[in-house]
Amino acid sequence: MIGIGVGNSQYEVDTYRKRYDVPFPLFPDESTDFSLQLGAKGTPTFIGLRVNKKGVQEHFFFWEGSFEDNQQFLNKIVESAGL
Amino acid sequence: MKGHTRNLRDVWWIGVLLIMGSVAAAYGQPSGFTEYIYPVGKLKPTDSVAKLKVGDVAPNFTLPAVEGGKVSLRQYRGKKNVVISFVPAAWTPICSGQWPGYNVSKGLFDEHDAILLGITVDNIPTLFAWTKQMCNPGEKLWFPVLSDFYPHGAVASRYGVLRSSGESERALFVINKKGVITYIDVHDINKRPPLDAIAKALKEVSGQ
Repeated sequence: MIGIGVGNSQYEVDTYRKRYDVPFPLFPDESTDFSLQLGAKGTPTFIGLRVNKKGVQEHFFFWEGSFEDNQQFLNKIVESAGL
Repeated sequence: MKGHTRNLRDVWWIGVLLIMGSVAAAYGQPSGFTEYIYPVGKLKPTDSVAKLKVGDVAPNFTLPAVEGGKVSLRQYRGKKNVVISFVPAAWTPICSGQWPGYNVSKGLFDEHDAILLGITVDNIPTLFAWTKQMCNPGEKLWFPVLSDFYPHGAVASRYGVLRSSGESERALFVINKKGVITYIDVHDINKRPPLDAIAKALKEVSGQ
Protein backbone atom coordinates (compact mmCIF):
# COMPACT_ATOMS: atom_id res chain seq x y z
CA MET A 1 0.00 0.00 0.00
CA ILE A 2 1.24 3.45 -0.84
CA GLY A 3 -0.33 6.83 -0.15
CA ILE A 4 -0.51 9.80 -2.48
CA GLY A 5 -1.00 13.27 -1.03
CA VAL A 6 -3.09 15.14 -3.59
CA GLY A 7 -1.93 18.71 -3.92
CA ASN A 8 0.53 18.23 -1.08
CA SER A 9 4.16 19.30 -0.90
CA GLN A 10 6.90 17.01 0.37
CA TYR A 11 6.88 18.96 3.65
CA GLU A 12 3.15 18.39 4.07
CA VAL A 13 3.45 14.70 3.36
CA ASP A 14 6.28 14.45 5.89
CA THR A 15 4.11 16.26 8.45
CA TYR A 16 1.29 13.80 7.83
CA ARG A 17 3.63 10.83 8.09
CA LYS A 18 4.99 12.00 11.44
CA ARG A 19 1.58 12.95 12.83
CA TYR A 20 0.00 9.57 12.10
CA ASP A 21 3.14 7.42 12.20
CA VAL A 22 2.28 6.07 8.75
CA PRO A 23 4.07 2.76 8.18
CA PHE A 24 3.76 2.70 4.37
CA PRO A 25 5.35 4.94 1.70
CA LEU A 26 3.75 8.31 1.05
CA PHE A 27 4.35 10.49 -1.98
CA PRO A 28 3.31 14.05 -2.76
CA ASP A 29 1.36 14.75 -5.94
CA GLU A 30 1.64 18.51 -5.82
CA SER A 31 0.23 19.18 -9.28
CA THR A 32 -2.55 16.56 -8.77
CA ASP A 33 -1.92 15.35 -12.34
CA PHE A 34 -1.08 11.81 -11.28
CA SER A 35 -4.16 11.44 -9.09
CA LEU A 36 -6.45 12.83 -11.78
CA GLN A 37 -5.02 10.39 -14.30
CA LEU A 38 -5.94 7.58 -11.95
CA GLY A 39 -9.49 8.90 -11.80
CA ALA A 40 -9.37 10.23 -8.25
CA LYS A 41 -11.77 13.17 -8.05
CA GLY A 42 -11.89 13.55 -4.29
CA THR A 43 -10.19 12.30 -1.18
CA PRO A 44 -9.82 9.82 0.16
CA THR A 45 -9.96 7.51 -2.83
CA PHE A 46 -8.75 3.93 -2.64
CA ILE A 47 -7.55 2.30 -5.83
CA GLY A 48 -6.46 -1.32 -6.19
CA LEU A 49 -4.06 -1.90 -9.04
CA ARG A 50 -2.89 -5.16 -10.51
CA VAL A 51 0.38 -4.99 -12.40
CA ASN A 52 1.05 -7.99 -14.58
CA LYS A 53 4.38 -9.26 -15.84
CA LYS A 54 4.18 -7.00 -18.86
CA GLY A 55 3.89 -4.01 -16.59
CA VAL A 56 0.28 -3.31 -17.53
CA GLN A 57 -1.81 -1.88 -14.74
CA GLU A 58 -5.42 -2.84 -14.25
CA HIS A 59 -7.82 -1.38 -11.74
CA PHE A 60 -9.49 -4.08 -9.69
CA PHE A 61 -10.80 -1.83 -6.94
CA PHE A 62 -12.01 1.75 -6.77
CA TRP A 63 -13.58 3.36 -3.72
CA GLU A 64 -14.33 7.01 -3.06
CA GLY A 65 -14.86 8.33 0.45
CA SER A 66 -14.10 6.93 3.84
CA PHE A 67 -15.34 3.63 5.26
CA GLU A 68 -16.78 2.43 8.53
CA ASP A 69 -15.30 -0.98 9.25
CA ASN A 70 -11.62 -1.79 8.63
CA GLN A 71 -12.05 -5.54 8.31
CA GLN A 72 -15.03 -5.31 5.98
CA PHE A 73 -13.13 -2.87 3.81
CA LEU A 74 -10.07 -5.14 3.65
CA ASN A 75 -12.32 -8.08 2.78
CA LYS A 76 -13.77 -6.10 -0.10
CA ILE A 77 -10.30 -5.39 -1.47
CA VAL A 78 -9.20 -9.01 -1.16
CA GLU A 79 -12.42 -10.19 -2.79
CA SER A 80 -12.05 -7.71 -5.65
CA ALA A 81 -8.47 -8.85 -6.18
CA GLY A 82 -9.72 -12.42 -6.68
CA LEU A 83 -7.39 -13.75 -4.03
CA MET B 1 -6.93 -24.65 -6.78
CA LYS B 2 -5.61 -24.45 -10.29
CA GLY B 3 -7.37 -21.15 -10.76
CA HIS B 4 -6.01 -19.88 -7.51
CA THR B 5 -2.45 -20.76 -8.56
CA ARG B 6 -2.93 -19.08 -11.91
CA ASN B 7 -4.15 -15.97 -10.21
CA LEU B 8 -1.14 -15.79 -7.99
CA ARG B 9 1.23 -16.39 -10.86
CA ASP B 10 -0.40 -13.77 -13.03
CA VAL B 11 -0.51 -11.23 -10.32
CA TRP B 12 3.01 -9.97 -10.18
CA TRP B 13 2.17 -7.12 -7.89
CA ILE B 14 -0.98 -5.90 -6.31
CA GLY B 15 -1.10 -2.61 -4.59
CA VAL B 16 -3.65 -0.36 -3.05
CA LEU B 17 -3.20 3.32 -3.53
CA LEU B 18 -4.61 5.56 -0.90
CA ILE B 19 -5.26 8.97 -2.35
CA MET B 20 -5.21 11.53 0.42
CA GLY B 21 -5.97 15.17 0.22
CA SER B 22 -4.39 18.31 1.45
CA VAL B 23 -2.64 16.77 4.41
CA ALA B 24 -6.11 17.43 5.21
CA ALA B 25 -8.39 14.69 5.14
CA ALA B 26 -6.58 12.63 7.63
CA TYR B 27 -8.21 9.34 7.08
CA GLY B 28 -10.67 11.22 5.15
CA GLN B 29 -13.24 13.75 5.78
CA PRO B 30 -16.42 12.01 6.80
CA SER B 31 -18.04 10.07 4.04
CA GLY B 32 -20.29 12.30 2.01
CA PHE B 33 -18.68 15.54 3.16
CA THR B 34 -17.53 16.46 -0.32
CA GLU B 35 -21.10 16.17 -1.62
CA TYR B 36 -21.97 19.32 0.28
CA ILE B 37 -19.15 21.41 -1.12
CA TYR B 38 -20.37 24.08 -3.50
CA PRO B 39 -18.38 24.19 -6.75
CA VAL B 40 -17.36 27.82 -7.05
CA GLY B 41 -15.34 27.44 -10.24
CA LYS B 42 -12.23 29.43 -10.96
CA LEU B 43 -12.21 32.89 -9.38
CA LYS B 44 -10.11 36.00 -9.83
CA PRO B 45 -6.96 35.14 -7.85
CA THR B 46 -7.14 38.24 -5.63
CA ASP B 47 -9.69 41.04 -5.51
CA SER B 48 -8.77 43.50 -2.80
CA VAL B 49 -6.39 46.35 -2.05
CA ALA B 50 -3.70 45.87 0.61
CA LYS B 51 -4.08 48.06 3.68
CA LEU B 52 -1.40 46.51 5.87
CA LYS B 53 2.25 45.62 5.44
CA VAL B 54 4.86 43.67 7.33
CA GLY B 55 6.04 45.76 10.26
CA ASP B 56 2.61 47.30 10.95
CA VAL B 57 0.90 46.73 14.28
CA ALA B 58 -1.93 44.28 13.65
CA PRO B 59 -5.32 45.96 14.18
CA ASN B 60 -7.13 44.55 17.18
CA PHE B 61 -10.49 42.85 16.71
CA THR B 62 -13.03 41.03 18.80
CA LEU B 63 -15.18 38.40 17.12
CA PRO B 64 -17.63 35.71 18.25
CA ALA B 65 -16.26 32.18 18.24
CA VAL B 66 -18.07 29.01 17.19
CA GLU B 67 -17.22 27.46 20.55
CA GLY B 68 -18.97 30.32 22.31
CA GLY B 69 -17.78 33.61 23.74
CA LYS B 70 -15.61 36.13 21.97
CA VAL B 71 -11.97 36.18 21.03
CA SER B 72 -9.81 39.29 20.77
CA LEU B 73 -6.45 39.47 19.09
CA ARG B 74 -5.16 41.52 22.00
CA GLN B 75 -5.60 38.65 24.48
CA TYR B 76 -2.59 36.91 22.90
CA ARG B 77 -0.30 39.95 23.17
CA GLY B 78 2.87 38.95 25.01
CA LYS B 79 1.66 35.35 25.26
CA LYS B 80 1.45 33.74 21.83
CA ASN B 81 2.51 34.27 18.27
CA VAL B 82 -0.65 34.42 16.18
CA VAL B 83 -1.47 33.08 12.75
CA ILE B 84 -4.69 34.43 11.25
CA SER B 85 -6.17 32.34 8.48
CA PHE B 86 -8.86 34.15 6.52
CA VAL B 87 -10.70 31.76 4.22
CA PRO B 88 -13.31 32.96 1.71
CA ALA B 89 -16.38 30.99 2.69
CA ALA B 90 -17.75 27.89 4.34
CA TRP B 91 -18.74 24.96 2.13
CA THR B 92 -16.36 25.82 -0.67
CA PRO B 93 -13.67 23.58 -2.15
CA ILE B 94 -10.24 24.73 -0.98
CA CYS B 95 -11.34 26.07 2.41
CA SER B 96 -12.84 22.73 3.32
CA GLY B 97 -9.44 21.09 3.06
CA GLN B 98 -7.27 23.90 4.36
CA TRP B 99 -8.43 23.94 7.97
CA PRO B 100 -8.47 20.17 8.51
CA GLY B 101 -4.88 20.36 7.27
CA TYR B 102 -4.07 22.67 10.18
CA ASN B 103 -5.51 20.06 12.51
CA VAL B 104 -2.94 17.59 11.22
CA SER B 105 -0.14 20.12 11.67
CA LYS B 106 -1.06 21.37 15.16
CA GLY B 107 2.41 20.31 16.32
CA LEU B 108 3.98 22.93 14.09
CA PHE B 109 2.02 25.71 15.80
CA ASP B 110 2.78 24.31 19.25
CA GLU B 111 6.46 24.08 18.42
CA HIS B 112 6.54 27.81 17.68
CA ASP B 113 4.28 28.86 20.55
CA ALA B 114 1.60 29.99 18.14
CA ILE B 115 -2.18 30.07 18.15
CA LEU B 116 -4.16 29.92 14.95
CA LEU B 117 -7.31 31.98 14.47
CA GLY B 118 -9.58 30.93 11.61
CA ILE B 119 -11.85 33.67 10.28
CA THR B 120 -14.58 33.73 7.65
CA VAL B 121 -17.41 36.15 6.89
CA ASP B 122 -19.99 33.40 7.55
CA ASN B 123 -22.33 33.46 10.51
CA ILE B 124 -21.91 31.23 13.57
CA PRO B 125 -24.57 28.59 12.73
CA THR B 126 -23.05 28.08 9.29
CA LEU B 127 -19.55 27.81 10.73
CA PHE B 128 -20.81 25.42 13.41
CA ALA B 129 -22.24 23.02 10.82
CA TRP B 130 -19.33 23.33 8.42
CA THR B 131 -16.53 22.82 10.95
CA LYS B 132 -18.40 19.94 12.57
CA GLN B 133 -18.89 18.27 9.23
CA MET B 134 -15.24 18.61 8.18
CA CYS B 135 -14.00 16.62 11.18
CA ASN B 136 -14.32 12.95 11.91
CA PRO B 137 -16.74 11.95 14.68
CA GLY B 138 -15.32 12.80 18.09
CA GLU B 139 -12.80 15.25 16.65
CA LYS B 140 -12.90 19.00 16.34
CA LEU B 141 -10.69 21.80 15.14
CA TRP B 142 -8.13 22.71 17.79
CA PHE B 143 -8.15 26.43 17.03
CA PRO B 144 -10.81 29.12 17.47
CA VAL B 145 -13.03 29.68 14.46
CA LEU B 146 -14.33 33.24 14.38
CA SER B 147 -17.25 34.82 12.58
CA ASP B 148 -16.69 38.11 10.79
CA PHE B 149 -20.33 38.15 9.75
CA TYR B 150 -21.66 41.37 11.22
CA PRO B 151 -20.84 44.11 10.51
CA HIS B 152 -20.18 42.10 7.42
CA GLY B 153 -16.48 41.44 6.82
CA ALA B 154 -15.42 44.34 9.04
CA VAL B 155 -12.22 42.65 10.18
CA ALA B 156 -11.42 41.38 6.69
CA SER B 157 -11.90 44.92 5.44
CA ARG B 158 -9.60 46.37 8.12
CA TYR B 159 -6.96 43.83 7.13
CA GLY B 160 -7.42 44.72 3.44
CA VAL B 161 -8.63 41.27 2.41
CA LEU B 162 -12.36 41.79 1.74
CA ARG B 163 -13.22 41.01 -1.88
CA SER B 164 -15.77 42.97 -3.86
CA SER B 165 -18.06 39.91 -3.73
CA GLY B 166 -18.27 40.08 0.08
CA GLU B 167 -16.11 37.04 0.76
CA SER B 168 -12.61 37.44 2.12
CA GLU B 169 -9.39 36.57 0.40
CA ARG B 170 -7.59 33.37 1.28
CA ALA B 171 -5.00 35.15 3.38
CA LEU B 172 -2.53 34.45 6.14
CA PHE B 173 -1.09 36.90 8.63
CA VAL B 174 1.58 36.03 11.17
CA ILE B 175 1.75 38.35 14.16
CA ASN B 176 4.47 38.22 16.80
CA LYS B 177 3.99 38.50 20.54
CA LYS B 178 4.45 42.27 20.33
CA GLY B 179 1.46 42.45 18.03
CA VAL B 180 3.52 43.28 14.94
CA ILE B 181 2.78 41.68 11.57
CA THR B 182 5.77 39.64 10.40
CA TYR B 183 4.28 37.82 7.41
CA ILE B 184 1.43 38.38 4.97
CA ASP B 185 0.28 36.05 2.22
CA VAL B 186 -2.79 37.11 0.28
CA HIS B 187 -2.93 33.90 -1.64
CA ASP B 188 -4.50 33.00 -4.96
CA ILE B 189 -8.03 32.20 -3.80
CA ASN B 190 -8.09 29.13 -6.04
CA LYS B 191 -5.13 27.53 -4.33
CA ARG B 192 -4.34 26.31 -0.85
CA PRO B 193 -1.31 28.01 0.72
CA PRO B 194 1.40 25.40 1.25
CA LEU B 195 2.20 24.54 4.83
CA ASP B 196 5.88 25.04 4.03
CA ALA B 197 5.44 28.81 3.91
CA ILE B 198 3.68 28.94 7.28
CA ALA B 199 6.42 26.76 8.78
CA LYS B 200 9.07 29.17 7.48
CA ALA B 201 7.18 32.21 8.77
CA LEU B 202 6.68 30.61 12.17
CA LYS B 203 10.32 29.70 12.37
CA GLU B 204 11.25 33.30 11.72
CA VAL B 205 8.78 34.74 14.21
CA SER B 206 9.74 32.38 17.01
CA GLY B 207 13.45 32.59 16.28
CA GLN B 208 13.72 28.80 16.47
